[in-house]
Amino acid sequence: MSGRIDLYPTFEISGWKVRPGRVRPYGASLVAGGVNFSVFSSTATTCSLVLFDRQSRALMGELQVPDAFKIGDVWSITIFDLDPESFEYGFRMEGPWDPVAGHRFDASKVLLDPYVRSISGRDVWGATPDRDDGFPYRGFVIPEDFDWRGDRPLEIPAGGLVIYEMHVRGFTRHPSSGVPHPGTYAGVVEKIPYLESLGVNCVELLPVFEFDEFEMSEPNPWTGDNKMNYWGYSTVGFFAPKGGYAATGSMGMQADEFKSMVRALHAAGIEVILDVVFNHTCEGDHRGPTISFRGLDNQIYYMLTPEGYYHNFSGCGNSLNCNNPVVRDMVLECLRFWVSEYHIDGFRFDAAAILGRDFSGAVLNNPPLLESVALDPILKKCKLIAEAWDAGGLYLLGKFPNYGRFSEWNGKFRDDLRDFLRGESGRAGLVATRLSGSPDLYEPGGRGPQASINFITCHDGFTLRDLVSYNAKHNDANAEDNRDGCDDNRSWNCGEEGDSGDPEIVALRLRQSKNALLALMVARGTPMMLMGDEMGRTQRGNNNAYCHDNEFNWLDWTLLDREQELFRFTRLVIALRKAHPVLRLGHHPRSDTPGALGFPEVSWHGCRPWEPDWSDDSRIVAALFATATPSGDDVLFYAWNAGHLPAMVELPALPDGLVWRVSANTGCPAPDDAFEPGQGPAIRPGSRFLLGPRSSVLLEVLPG
Amino acid sequence: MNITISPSGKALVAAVTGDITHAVAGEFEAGLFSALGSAGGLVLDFEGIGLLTSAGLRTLLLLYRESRQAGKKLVLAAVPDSVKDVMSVTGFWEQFITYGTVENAVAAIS
Repeated sequence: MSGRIDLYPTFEISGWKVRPGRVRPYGASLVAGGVNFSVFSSTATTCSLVLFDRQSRALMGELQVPDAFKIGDVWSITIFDLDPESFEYGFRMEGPWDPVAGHRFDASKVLLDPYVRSISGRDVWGATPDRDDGFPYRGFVIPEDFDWRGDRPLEIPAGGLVIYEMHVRGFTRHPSSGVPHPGTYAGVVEKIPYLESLGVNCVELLPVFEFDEFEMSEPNPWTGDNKMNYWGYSTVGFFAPKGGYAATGSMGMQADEFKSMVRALHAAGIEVILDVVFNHTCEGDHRGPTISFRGLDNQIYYMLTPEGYYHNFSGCGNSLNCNNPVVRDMVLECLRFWVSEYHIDGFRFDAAAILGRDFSGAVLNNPPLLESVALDPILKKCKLIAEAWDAGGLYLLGKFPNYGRFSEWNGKFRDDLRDFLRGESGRAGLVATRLSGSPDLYEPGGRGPQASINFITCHDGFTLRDLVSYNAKHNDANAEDNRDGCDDNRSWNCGEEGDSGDPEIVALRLRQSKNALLALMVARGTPMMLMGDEMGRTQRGNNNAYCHDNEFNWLDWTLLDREQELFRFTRLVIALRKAHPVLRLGHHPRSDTPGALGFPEVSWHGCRPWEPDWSDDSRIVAALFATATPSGDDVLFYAWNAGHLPAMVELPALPDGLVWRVSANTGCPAPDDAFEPGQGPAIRPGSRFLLGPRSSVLLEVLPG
Repeated sequence: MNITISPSGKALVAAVTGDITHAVAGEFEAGLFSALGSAGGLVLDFEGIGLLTSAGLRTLLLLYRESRQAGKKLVLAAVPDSVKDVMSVTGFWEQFITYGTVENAVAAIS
């Protein structure tokens, strides 16, 4: 038997052959002979489906969905003989305009389907928008089948990940990238061999859900171009990949191109994590545009004040009402969709603390959304990473409701390592804690080091090169009088603000960059580095480059030639991390638990073995990590001298027949700054080791 | 869309002109599959192809697989760069056997 017995029209409305639709799935989906539409509203009084010609964008027709087609609060309709490639659609809802009660229906607007799988209107990045178009973002239906050829999410253990945070457009938009389709998903694919050569095995993409780069766009007197929503933290459609990031966006094939990118990354052993923004939408506050949610069911989708205004815990005008059961379902469905349809390996939740608030903004003890996400069977193996704070002042680092699943962007790791790097006093003990995977934050809750996403730089703030080149932010080009962006940068310019021709300063900046990268790769937890930090990418001191679609943000690939030494060092310390299981263990190392070769799992040292200096004046942290693995003992010695004077370090004695070998030493110029695992020079037993000023070393143990 | 079929050696050459979209997908698939039945192999001459949409690409892939299942060779020839480009970035290109010219394609499958 083939086919279904219910796929024939039973009614005709405005000349369209229709029948009552299927309530699930929400949104528009292809069915044999037609297209099924389903949309929810608890308060709307009528629902009309509005169809437009995809080529001419002219109105094709508008059908009021009969109440007889409604089940519960859901309207659904199947339309027959509708060529799925010929139309775009939206909904028109009638209902009360009563802001105090939370209702802001506006029947003059055509609304975007919240479950829409593909959106037109912004399918070519930077194409000038038609400001007179009352319905600029339109849904269209796509075939969702894809030949994955056996691909599935990679499920790399969290400790083994090296995350590379990147912007799809910024990665290859610069002309020097040399790719056929700069700034696109296809461009990312072209650069997979580069990612492989660097050794990262996970890319974390800044938002790729459809957004409008022209949102809040205005001429920028400083740069002469337009300010853009370049980062994309303002979602138009949660189920739709950004069309403007696809070389084929103008043909509506962004979903295929995106999937093709994921498949290619997976084939190279690289996971894909998406930075997702469920804390707010692109509709802003009561002064913002009505695009979708506001006109569908405002009081369901948004956290509202008793007066009917928008809570603004996101700092972006509104807050999605995530713990409402309907919205919770949407978020959960969205995550499942990206994992099952796009094979996504994990998510980083922007301003995730909001996801733990109720409809009034109160903090929930047991937030149903987070529990549902954490325990969902489809999401069971994917990485869940929280930015554990929000703009409403809720700071949950170490305390994020995690259900044993969520890890956190560890802001304290960033702050403490930056402080030590610049030579602040009183940080030696804190750095030791961070290197151990931050047990102070995670052990009380029974969480291991994999709860900690370790990072020193990310898209938000200075790049690594700027961290060692600027004492203060220089955000003038954002045209906000340098008021925007974080003031707590904990950076040090190494003697001169900005570009320097002084060879000593240039050398020190390079060394400081290496110190940061080595510490990041040695620390227990999951390291995340920022795109371009391996080649000294600069934003010229701008620590909030959210609005620049220009060289502030585009990765200049010519840096790779000029910064070969830094690239090589980064590549080698990533390789060292991968070569040493002791750096990737899933528990916090303890000094009272046996490790290997008679050493405990971790022991702390100073200029003399077994004599760490935790005083405020200490600028030296030295650790010996040891573990026994099925393939042998793995023992490493790591020391970081953040002071401006060299230090003579006596190394812990090894059993006979074994020697320390240098695998990285930032105090030496290339090629002696880093070695392939197991290939570094031996240190004569009993000799002392000169640790240069502001330098760090990693030593391996090998037979003499 | 228009399809002109002519024999060439042991193969049939189907010159496809115009757009392959959802609207003509059924006609495209049925027309070529029946032609395939009487030939040892089929060369799709795409020199005059217009738009190949998402649905068009899927139809092409389904046809390709049906032909392989039937033990027949189906290859693409003279695909314009713009179409090749779209097929490449969406992951379809590498699934097909392709030739630069119809002559080469015919020679290869005859």
